[in-house]
Amino acid sequence: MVILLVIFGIIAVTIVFSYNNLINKKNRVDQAYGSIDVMLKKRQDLIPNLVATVQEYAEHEKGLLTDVTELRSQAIKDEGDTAKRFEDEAALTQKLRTLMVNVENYPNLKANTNFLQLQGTLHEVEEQISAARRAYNASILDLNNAVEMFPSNIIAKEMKLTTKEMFEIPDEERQNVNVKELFKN
Amino acid sequence: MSDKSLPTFEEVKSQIEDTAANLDAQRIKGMKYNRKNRMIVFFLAIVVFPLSIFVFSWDIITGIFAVMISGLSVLYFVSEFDYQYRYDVKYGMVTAILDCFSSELLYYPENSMLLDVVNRGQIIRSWYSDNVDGEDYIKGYYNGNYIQFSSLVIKRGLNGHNSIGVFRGRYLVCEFNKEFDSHTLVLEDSLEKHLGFFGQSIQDFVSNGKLVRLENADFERRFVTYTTDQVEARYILSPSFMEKLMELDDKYDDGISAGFRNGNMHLAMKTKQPLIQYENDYPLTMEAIQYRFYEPIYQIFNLIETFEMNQKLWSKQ
Repeated sequence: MVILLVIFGIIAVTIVFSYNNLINKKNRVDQAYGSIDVMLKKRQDLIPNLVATVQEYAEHEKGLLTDVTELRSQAIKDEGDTAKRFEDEAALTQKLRTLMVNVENYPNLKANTNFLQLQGTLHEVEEQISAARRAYNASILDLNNAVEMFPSNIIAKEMKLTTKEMFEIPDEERQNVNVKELFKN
Repeated sequence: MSDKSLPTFEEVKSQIEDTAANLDAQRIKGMKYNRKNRMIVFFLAIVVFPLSIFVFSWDIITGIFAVMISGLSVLYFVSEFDYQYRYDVKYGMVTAILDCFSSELLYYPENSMLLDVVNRGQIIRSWYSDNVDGEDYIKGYYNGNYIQFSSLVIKRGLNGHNSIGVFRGRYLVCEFNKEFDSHTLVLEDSLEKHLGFFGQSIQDFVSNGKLVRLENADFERRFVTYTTDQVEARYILSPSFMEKLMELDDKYDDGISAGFRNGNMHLAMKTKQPLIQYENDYPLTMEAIQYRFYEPIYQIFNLIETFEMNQKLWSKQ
């Protein structure tokens, strides 16, 4: 009788522990996603100022600046759809990178204090976005491990919790950067 | 490692030649002074002692006592001179070399960093300690970055016999080049080293969400990272920064720890060797100066350059 009670107790504790652990990991994923959101918004806030500064000096980049502005608006519109939003933000990252390379052709712009500050801030925001994505992937890994490993996978199935996808870079970004091509654009 | 802005020994040599020459002249003068004093002690023992017994009819005990008092007095002056000379050499050479790195640095040969400063980093369990000793304290501004450095010995327990060693090594505090509000610790991972997967699980369990699992497997094997903000920890510990920490860890057999708090980086490097080692017997040749003074100081600033602490990023300006 005592043995049965002990076994029952152990099972109950394991169930409670696994349930709480899964909820904890799920909430961490949401928190990490929220951090990416904050950093992406920070970047979005920088863009109007950046576009206005570059426009003054770099008339030939009008097309690129228009693309950046449009992608920013699109990303704001798609905030409710995670996959679409990440796609828009990835495209925006590419355009901004191209813009930063192209401004090398405008020495007056490079000497502008306001632009240099924006460029530096943008670089730091990109680093923070990268850190937020790494934190997101780490929290996804923790959740996926808990959902798939025994005995928490039993509880996860009952809770209808499934594995989530990690943040991955698009295929174009995996390729080696051709610096010559960048300058041609 | 980046060392482009650091002065080479050739550049430093021209600045310190006169100081070195004066100090070496002092050393030679001191050697003659000490030789003379040792001759006096010898004379007292071999000549005065027998004389005092046979000529002045002193008893042996009084004679021995008289020789001992005289000898000890002479030896006291010798050791005082040696001590003062060692202090003068350390202070003279180190300040002359530091001046080549930055004119805003101060050097205190016999002082160490305050325990309060060390406690802020929380990478050494020094808040239980009450006995801190050390030397070679350097503080001041290097390329606009406020730094503090010293060799440290931290013990727990006021009584020297019962004290427990907490830390022995070198400690550096400098402003970090990124803005952050959180507190991140990178400590030696002894639990995982000894218990493997179980050690990892224990860390996970007790950390209450503060444990950081990073992507670099080698880094994870060597260090355990705790933080109050998961994103800021990864912002600080970028892949390249982790590589630099591991390179530094390779240089110190007893390991390193790092802490990031209040915009500063704390770096503790365990080693039994003091930063500057110099004995009076060594002539102050340029080779000796390079090996015993320039190289250890260069290491400190190379560390700051390697971690790019002197490059203030826009978010910090």
